[in-house]
Amino acid sequence: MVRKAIRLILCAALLAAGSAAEDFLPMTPMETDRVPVRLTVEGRGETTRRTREQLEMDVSLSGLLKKAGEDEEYASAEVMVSRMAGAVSLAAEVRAGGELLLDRSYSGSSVYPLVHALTDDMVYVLTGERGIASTRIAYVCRSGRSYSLVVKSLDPREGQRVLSDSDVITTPAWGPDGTRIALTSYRSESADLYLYDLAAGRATQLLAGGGLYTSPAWSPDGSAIAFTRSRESNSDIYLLEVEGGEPRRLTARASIETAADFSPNGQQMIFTSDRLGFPQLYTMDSSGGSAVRLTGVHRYMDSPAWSPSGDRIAYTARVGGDFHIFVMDADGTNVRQVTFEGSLNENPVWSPTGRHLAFSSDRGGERAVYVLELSGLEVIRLSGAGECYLPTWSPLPPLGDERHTERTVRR
Amino acid sequence: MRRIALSIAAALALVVITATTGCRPDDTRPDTDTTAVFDTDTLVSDTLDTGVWDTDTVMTSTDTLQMHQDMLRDVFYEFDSSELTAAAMDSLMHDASYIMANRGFRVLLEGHCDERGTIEYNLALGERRAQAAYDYLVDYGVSPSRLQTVSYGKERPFAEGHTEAAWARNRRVHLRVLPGS
Repeated sequence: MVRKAIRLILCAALLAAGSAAEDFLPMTPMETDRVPVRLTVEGRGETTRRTREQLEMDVSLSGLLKKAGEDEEYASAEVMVSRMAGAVSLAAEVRAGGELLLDRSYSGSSVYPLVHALTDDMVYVLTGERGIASTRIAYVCRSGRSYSLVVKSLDPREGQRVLSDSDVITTPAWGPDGTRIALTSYRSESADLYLYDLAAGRATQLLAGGGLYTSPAWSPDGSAIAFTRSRESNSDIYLLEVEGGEPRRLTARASIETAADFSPNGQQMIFTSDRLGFPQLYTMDSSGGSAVRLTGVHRYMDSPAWSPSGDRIAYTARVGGDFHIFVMDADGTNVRQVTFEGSLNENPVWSPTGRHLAFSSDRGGERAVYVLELSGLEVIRLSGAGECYLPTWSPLPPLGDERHTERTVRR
Repeated sequence: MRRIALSIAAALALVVITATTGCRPDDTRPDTDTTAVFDTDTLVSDTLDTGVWDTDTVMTSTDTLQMHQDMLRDVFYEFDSSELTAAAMDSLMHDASYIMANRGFRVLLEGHCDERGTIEYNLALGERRAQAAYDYLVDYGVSPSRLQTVSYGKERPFAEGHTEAAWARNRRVHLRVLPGS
């Protein structure tokens, strides 16, 4: 009896030791739901080749469609490319089950926005869901003591350097209406909050003085920004109404509280706290109050991001000496590892549809921004040469954005 | 001459006090809960800088600022820590003496971290490092009005590269000389 008990205790100890050294489960690819589409792109010259390549990439990155194999045809897309007087035109017909679902032409100076608009239309008529091909990602790039905010589309075009400085630019956050990016600047020998207006091309100071202000996060309705105030060795989370008013303190502990992100309904927040002596993730009501630790499977966790549908949390965790991106359910269960390469993978952000993550990684040597499609686990490098990090994803363009469209759906 | 002798005596006394009250900077922080405050009661401030003749022009040329910059020593930290090591306290003691003995500049204490931590958490950690240096300098006698803290996290590394040598150089509080007095 005693021997049996000892054996049980030994087994339990071995199991505990085993689970401590256990690798985290990788996320599983779920390719099966994608709609196969046969892509036909006709026309002449380089523009046609670029159209074909980009369309295939957009379809692959959508996570909802896939290029059809030989014998699996459900839908077809026929695209005619023509170029005249400096403008490109795409005439597209999309069919499924013999029915014409989309008959539309797109024109503009560059072929890439047209392909993105076509892909997003295709995703919509074939699946009823929104695509992300037309969205953009902003991130910070550093070259020595020179810092830039760069806006990049999901194609080979070079990123646009919208803001540059010889002082640190960090923690950008794209606002939910798409027109503004909140960020931290060190222009004044301190860390202040700014709002960058994309249309006006102007950065305006939002909050300065009395501490360091970093890690802004927009409330889903765009009315308020949560941020971290660091002062006298302490960091806490505050909330500021964008249209004015005094910041309101949400956490009040001597430990570090930072990296807040809102739940999609705006009622909760997830954030990092080292109140136990090491950084862990906690949730609390957006009005403040008591916090609940979410999971304890990693010793060092930071940069939480709440998925747009509210069901999952992406974050960075230290594994051994390396940092990797993980995704878990919003209740802290079902932890899955999504990056395996490089030693510094950081700052995951969700695409507005929740089907992708953007993050930075040093897998290619220098830190660069990557995009991961979650159903097929396909990874593409987004940023070009140079050190780039801290991605923030634009919201979806309004439905029915017809900037590049000449004709509407004919049914 | 007498003034210099006095300040040396005061500095020595402070060294003794600092040495006996502990090696950990946390132990020497002013206790904010106590109600006994001396500064407001006394005619002479607790923190006295070396005086200047007001007929002298205060030198704040770039060269002078650069000279002060060259005299100050940065403070280095262990991995994942804002504790002051013995070497860090030696540097800070030197810096405190220099700042108190020379006027016409202020010092920005910049907390920096190495890349082996996340961006947001490092921004907060760097503030702890800067504050540890600030507390030491103020306890030593430097006037708080001449000091300011900031954290750069890992956003502005001193050394590029991904080696232990580069990381060690980047875990620091940099004392940056600013114009002012």
